[in-house]
Amino acid sequence: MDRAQVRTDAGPSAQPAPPPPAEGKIGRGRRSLRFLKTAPGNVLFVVTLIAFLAFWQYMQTQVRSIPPLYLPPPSAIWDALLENFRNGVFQENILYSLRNYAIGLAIGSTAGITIGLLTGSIRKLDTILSPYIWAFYATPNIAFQPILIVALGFSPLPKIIMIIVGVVFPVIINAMTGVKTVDNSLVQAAKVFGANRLQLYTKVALPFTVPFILTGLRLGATRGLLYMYISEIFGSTQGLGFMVLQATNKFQTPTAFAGIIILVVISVLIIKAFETLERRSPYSRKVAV
Amino acid sequence: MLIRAEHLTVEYEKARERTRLVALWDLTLDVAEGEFLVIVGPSGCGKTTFLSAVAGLVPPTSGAVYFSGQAVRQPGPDRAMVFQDYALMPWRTVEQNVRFGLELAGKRDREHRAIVQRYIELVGLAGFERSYPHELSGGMRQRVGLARALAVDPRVLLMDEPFGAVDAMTREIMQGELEKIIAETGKTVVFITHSIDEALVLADRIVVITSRPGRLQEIVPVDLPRPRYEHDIKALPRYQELRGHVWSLLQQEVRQNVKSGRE
Ligand SMILES: Nc1ncnc2c1ncn2[C@@H]1O[C@H](COP(=O)(O)OP(=O)(O)O)[C@@H](O)[C@H]1O
Ligand SMILES: [Mg+2]
Repeated sequence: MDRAQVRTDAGPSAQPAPPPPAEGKIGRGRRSLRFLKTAPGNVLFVVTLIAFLAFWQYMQTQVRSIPPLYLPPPSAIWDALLENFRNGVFQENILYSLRNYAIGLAIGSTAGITIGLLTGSIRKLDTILSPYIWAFYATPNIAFQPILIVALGFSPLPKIIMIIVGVVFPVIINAMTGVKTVDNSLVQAAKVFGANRLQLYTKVALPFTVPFILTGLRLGATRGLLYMYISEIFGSTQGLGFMVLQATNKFQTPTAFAGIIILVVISVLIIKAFETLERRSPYSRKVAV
Repeated sequence: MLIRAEHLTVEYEKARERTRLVALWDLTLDVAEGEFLVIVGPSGCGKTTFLSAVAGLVPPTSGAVYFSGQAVRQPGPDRAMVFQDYALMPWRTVEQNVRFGLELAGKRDREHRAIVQRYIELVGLAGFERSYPHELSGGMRQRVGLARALAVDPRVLLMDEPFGAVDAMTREIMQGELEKIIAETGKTVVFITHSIDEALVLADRIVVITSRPGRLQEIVPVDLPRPRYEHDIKALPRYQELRGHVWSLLQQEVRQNVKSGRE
């Protein structure tokens, strides 16, 4: 019958088995190198950090290749850090910065999620708003800050607005993308099982978009921090950025470095928090294919 | 008749080319209550379109689909679907996925629990209630898809190449389990497959559809003993005979496609 015409392409082949891969030699190396290879990550981090600080301390107290005015030794920075916490200068400025940041982040993410979901779901709105959203997303919006200061003065308001501007666009873009890329087969499945329009939104589109929103929030929070800091450097009388600038102007570089270290710690904590949120969210489960 | 397609024609708009694509052409077909109907045909012949029309996801261009005497206009809980790509919500656990249809119907949580548990056990997923789809194998995911469909207690199960993405061994096991489950629940099934063997193992009747536009080519009744998972039906002369017949029907189609340069 016709069946005889079916050919199996994979005929009986008498290929020899490939030789076993040559066994890689496990490098024995020197003792110190082996430590670098086997030590757990956090131990390695602490050890290298201490080594780095010791090197820095030695260079800036004994060798002094860079004038300590520009690069103070860690010990001087540590002293400045303690001093400024003792007299309350740091607390006051950190609080000012974080308060503005919290307000800006809250407003920016709420607005971003709302605008993103709406533009993602309503075709007309998308056509009208998308060009502006992308333009603002692409622009370093910090350019607007001088105008804001002229208009609103040295109050917290222009800073909060700048933080909102920093946060809102990454959130909008990501929320919008999420809604637009909802897996069509999930929509079909929901329809088959009787979802109405509202349920298609609440049971499919929204949960599908949550991981996109979380990514947007992480990116927005990062940008928000940047905008917060810059808006305090130019046109401010308070805040972390202002404090660092002022210390620098007074040649108190240890204090400036201490301020920068605080900024680093705050930034890392905030970004880690958002990263953890993104990773732990049950909605971030990989789309199973 | 539980399902009746009458001169069913479905066309899709091709917006970009401003043309229409005829996916199904003048298909008339009955499915009896309790029947296991398997549809085979070359890819792109409109099998999925047919299921979508029965489900109420795609409107007929002309003709109609009647379900239990009523013209189908929209999806309903009496027709549940099992998808080739599983279409499970990745953010929901097995339990929550199986509950999906009940939840949409607005049933109370307390009533759900027993039903959901029963179908999870029926498809052999007890112990995996809290797992997420990405933690499961393809075969297990499709069990979830099957349980989700069964949980709404539909009158017909629409299955679109449900085992197409599952490995060969698992596939055979799942065919046996499906036959058992259908025998237990007495559901009507419309099942699509590419595999002639799968069709023969499962079907009461096999519908062969021609390539684009999809038309009915022939209906082949499968008079093999049941339950088939217990018999070595593939060794029966009758099995070989039916297989040869269905195969030659499809062969004609494929030949024509090659000649007209479509495949
Ligand atoms: N939503 C759609 N829009 C336009 N064309 C479609 C759509 N769905 C399917 N088609 C086309 O209709 C034909 C039949 O598709 P389908 O029913 O999926 O075939 P099968 O399931 O038999 O492979 C194919 O040519 C396919 O490209
Ligand atoms: Mg198909």
